[in-house]
Amino acid sequence: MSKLVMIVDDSLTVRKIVETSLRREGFDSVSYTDGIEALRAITEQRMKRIPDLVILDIGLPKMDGYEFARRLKTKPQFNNTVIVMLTSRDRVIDRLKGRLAGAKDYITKPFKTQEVISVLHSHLGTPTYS
Amino acid sequence: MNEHPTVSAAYIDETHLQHLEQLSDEEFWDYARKLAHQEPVAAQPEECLECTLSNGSCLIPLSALNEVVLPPHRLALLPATPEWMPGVVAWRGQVIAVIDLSMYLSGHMLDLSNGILLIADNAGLALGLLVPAIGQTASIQHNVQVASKDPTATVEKAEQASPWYLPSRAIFVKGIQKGSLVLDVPSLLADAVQQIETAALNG
Amino acid sequence: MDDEFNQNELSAEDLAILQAFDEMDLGGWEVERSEKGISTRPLTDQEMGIDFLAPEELLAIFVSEAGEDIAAIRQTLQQLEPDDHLESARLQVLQRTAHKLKGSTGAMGCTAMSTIAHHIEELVKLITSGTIVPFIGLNALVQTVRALETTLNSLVTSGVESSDPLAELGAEYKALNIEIASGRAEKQALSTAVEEEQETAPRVYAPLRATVEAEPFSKAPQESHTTLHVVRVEVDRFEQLILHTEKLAELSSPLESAQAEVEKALQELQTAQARLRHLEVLVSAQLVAKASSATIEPNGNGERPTSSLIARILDEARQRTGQHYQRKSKVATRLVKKADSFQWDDLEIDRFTENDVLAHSLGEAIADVTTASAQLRAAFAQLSRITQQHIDQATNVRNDTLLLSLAPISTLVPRIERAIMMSALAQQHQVLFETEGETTEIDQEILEKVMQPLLQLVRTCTAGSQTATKTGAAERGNATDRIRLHVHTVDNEVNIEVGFSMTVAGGALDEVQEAIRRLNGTIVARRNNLGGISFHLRLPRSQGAIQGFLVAVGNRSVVVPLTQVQRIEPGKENRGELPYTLNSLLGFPMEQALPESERAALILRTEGSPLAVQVDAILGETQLVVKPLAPHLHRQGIIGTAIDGRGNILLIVDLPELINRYEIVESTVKVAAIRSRGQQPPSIVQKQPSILVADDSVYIRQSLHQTLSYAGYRVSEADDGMKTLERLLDYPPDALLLDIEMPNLNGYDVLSMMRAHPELAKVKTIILTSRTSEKHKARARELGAHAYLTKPCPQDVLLETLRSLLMN
Repeated sequence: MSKLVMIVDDSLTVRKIVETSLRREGFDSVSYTDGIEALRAITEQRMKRIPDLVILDIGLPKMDGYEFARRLKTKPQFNNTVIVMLTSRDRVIDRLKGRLAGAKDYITKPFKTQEVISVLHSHLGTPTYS
Repeated sequence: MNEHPTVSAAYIDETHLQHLEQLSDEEFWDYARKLAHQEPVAAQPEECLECTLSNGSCLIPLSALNEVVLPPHRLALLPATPEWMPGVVAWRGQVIAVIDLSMYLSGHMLDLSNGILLIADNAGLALGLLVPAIGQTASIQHNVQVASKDPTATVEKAEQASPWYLPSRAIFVKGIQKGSLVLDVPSLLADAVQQIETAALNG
Repeated sequence: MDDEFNQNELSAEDLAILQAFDEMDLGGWEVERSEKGISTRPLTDQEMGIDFLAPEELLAIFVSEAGEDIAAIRQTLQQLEPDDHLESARLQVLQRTAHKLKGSTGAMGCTAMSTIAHHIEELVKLITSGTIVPFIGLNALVQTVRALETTLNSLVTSGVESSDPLAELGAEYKALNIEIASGRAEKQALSTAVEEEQETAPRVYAPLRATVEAEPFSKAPQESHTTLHVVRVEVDRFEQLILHTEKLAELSSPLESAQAEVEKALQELQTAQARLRHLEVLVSAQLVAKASSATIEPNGNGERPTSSLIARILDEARQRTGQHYQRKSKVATRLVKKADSFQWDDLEIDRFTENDVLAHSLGEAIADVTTASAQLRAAFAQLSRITQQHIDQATNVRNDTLLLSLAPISTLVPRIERAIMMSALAQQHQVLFETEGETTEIDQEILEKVMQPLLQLVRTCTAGSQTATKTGAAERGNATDRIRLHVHTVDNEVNIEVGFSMTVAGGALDEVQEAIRRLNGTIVARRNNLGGISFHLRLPRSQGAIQGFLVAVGNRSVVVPLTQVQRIEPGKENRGELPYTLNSLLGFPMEQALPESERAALILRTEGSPLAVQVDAILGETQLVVKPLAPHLHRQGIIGTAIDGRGNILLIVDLPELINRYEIVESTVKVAAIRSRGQQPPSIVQKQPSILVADDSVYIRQSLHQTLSYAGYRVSEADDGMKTLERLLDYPPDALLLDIEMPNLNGYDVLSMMRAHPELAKVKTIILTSRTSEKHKARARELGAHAYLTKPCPQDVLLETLRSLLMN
């Protein structure tokens, strides 16, 4: 059973690219344009599985990435979900904010899809094919 | 973006941050929880200086004062200034405005040739308060002193005791302790500076 | 109004979702872990999104999204352009969209576009932090967006990103003097442009942090600046300052020891003097004893000498022998051989010894005093020498600090040049810009503060308003316009002339007047030899000493800068008209005033008729360090204050300004008094009052001329601001009818200039304009206009206003 990755980024292009790469690597993915949409999907029961990993852009409209991550982590079901931040800043304080919000890792933008894949591998292991 | 109050970046230095980075998730959250649960420091009682004015006395917090200067004072007259401003004086190389505190509060003029000059600080701006005489220092307890946000309440309370100051100045009286007016010095100074500034246009 | 602004706002629906999420109990969810191998229904296609994308499809999605984002950025930019102050919400939109674009282009591997998008983000940061001027920032943003579009198009048409737009962008940034720091935006207190202008300076500049008002030996306890003030300093001069400061410090211990020497010598002198005094008593007693012993009666009346034992013995001996023993006088210290009686008298020896000792001691004591006072003199001379050296070094240090903060005017030149090049004028004509004297140095702080007004002046004049270019273009055809910047110094002042060879748009002077005044400078407009007008700025070179007359006003002293005074007249002169008195100009309480004939007067330097200001006494000349007053203490007519050696504060006054203020206050008081008394205007005014009509429209001038002369006034005309000013100075009228819209100098400029000429303070000014807004009225009032009338103005209103103003 493939692992499920959730992508939250306001750029359609980015979402498509990442999803395509993930699909190629054998991961399942869902994507949303911002935190509110993702939460909506959860509350409306459209998401039937808890994602194993969330790739989260920080500079999102309406609700920033940290806020979303924090919210997610308030529900015990997401305790094991790995959160990876997509950030354009690489200072220690940004990483700290990420940590405080519950993120485990981060990728800097602009990124190469290969980076995404390697981060995924390191947290989720290489996918098994059912 | 909804901003959650995170630890302000200004108070974290690089090494501390690195250290925090190294902590495991568990330790990190424990530390954060500990910080969040710290009690705020209890309010300290404030030291004040008692000053005798024309019809009464007042208490001025020492924290608002920089220096006390004894007479004689070399005041210079500046055109277009309020009537309660006898002039300007040189202090540590600066030219600062001098306010006759008695006159400012009560409207009555006194002979201030032997007055004491208190140098007060208003957000980095120095001002001189000329008072006829000073007494001892006293402390006021903030818990005991009802720092009322409602000016009318203070006025009623204060007016019963000694209504020798002008009604327009009542907002600067925080309360009364043993017959002395406890003054809200920062607001008083800010108001005085404003009036000094506008006097230039009307003079 | 825009949805963009609501990007950060959560709609009611959104909030409902948040609430629902928080309340959700997700217990009902199937908690799946892939490792457990529980199979579940696979995700539907919809949830998974579209299936594998072909590269072309991906590209299409990307291009369409990128296109939308660029369009959004453009639209936001357009909304920003008209405003002077940029709304941060729009800037944020810009930044966010650019950030998004950066991400998507990066993911697509389009590095050029990603970099350009990053530039947009950085530019927004620089604008928000105030590091670059909004005007320049917007310019840069427009260029950047253009580059972005070009690059995207190249990608679409050729399948590959062109890197040319990005490279050109770099050059464009350089022209605007913008530096995009990759990664973080540095915040700098000084404008970036000024720093970068110094590339060609041969000297090395090292940044130095200094609090603005700190002097070498005293520290101002408060600093009202919120940002750190950075001053650029030349390394050589700084090192010289350090050298002198060290020397100064080295002098402190010699100074102390010299002082100690003086003290010691003083002590010794005092000791010697005390001994001398003591001996004086002894000796005088001896003398008295000698005198009295010569006249002593055998019965022993007389004074007893100090050495009473000897005297007693002598007495007894005399009584015994009947011989009168003479006590040797102090002068005769020699043994006198008595031929007859070779009685070796032990007592005599004792007497001699005693006298001798006394005499010796006296001699020594005198010698000691002499030596001690000589030593004291020497020590004192040494102290004076070292003190003088100390003072000299202190003066050196002070001069060094003054020099330290100097910078050449040439740092402003490139920016002025650029402002000219970017102006509308330069688009239409060829403009030649030349400079002279740009190596002149002035205080860096003043330089920084004068930059904005100078640029404003140049921009306004070259903005090419309708009036200027319409007439100008027709006249000049293809002639070259010239703009010049000439700088030279006179004493402690620097004169900056900005001259134009063509007619310029009015309003420049009014705009910068206030800023120049705050720098304690003046600005005037005059015709120049290029065929147009020049603006002459006079500024103090350094915030330092000015020379002035110390004058007495009652029992107070006040300083009048030398530059304001043409000459002094002692009190004896009889002056025709009533001059001003400094006492009343300052509004100080009247104390016993000297009779007018005894008061001295200062004759002011004016371009028109002479003005005199009476003072109670002229105490002398002085040179002082002037500091401006704190903002809340600013008063019209007071330039600043100085503190003398004894801690007294001296006001430094601006007499022309004081007169201006006085005249305005006086006329309003008079008008109010007359109105309150309900006086009827006098039916005939003594002599025919003269009115100057200033308007660039021939029609208006002619019709006003007719109306006014019919009403009995003498009328003269001027068709532009400069001519108005010239006529005012040559033949001051009783009243001035002033239009606002005029070339070269507009109505506000003329009003501003009138304030600089106190001899015009009595001219009644009526603004007559088609502008009706409150803002204009208020501005006119601020500048000292007496009345404000809007066109078209009914005759009777105009005449009535004139009549009431001229009544005073």
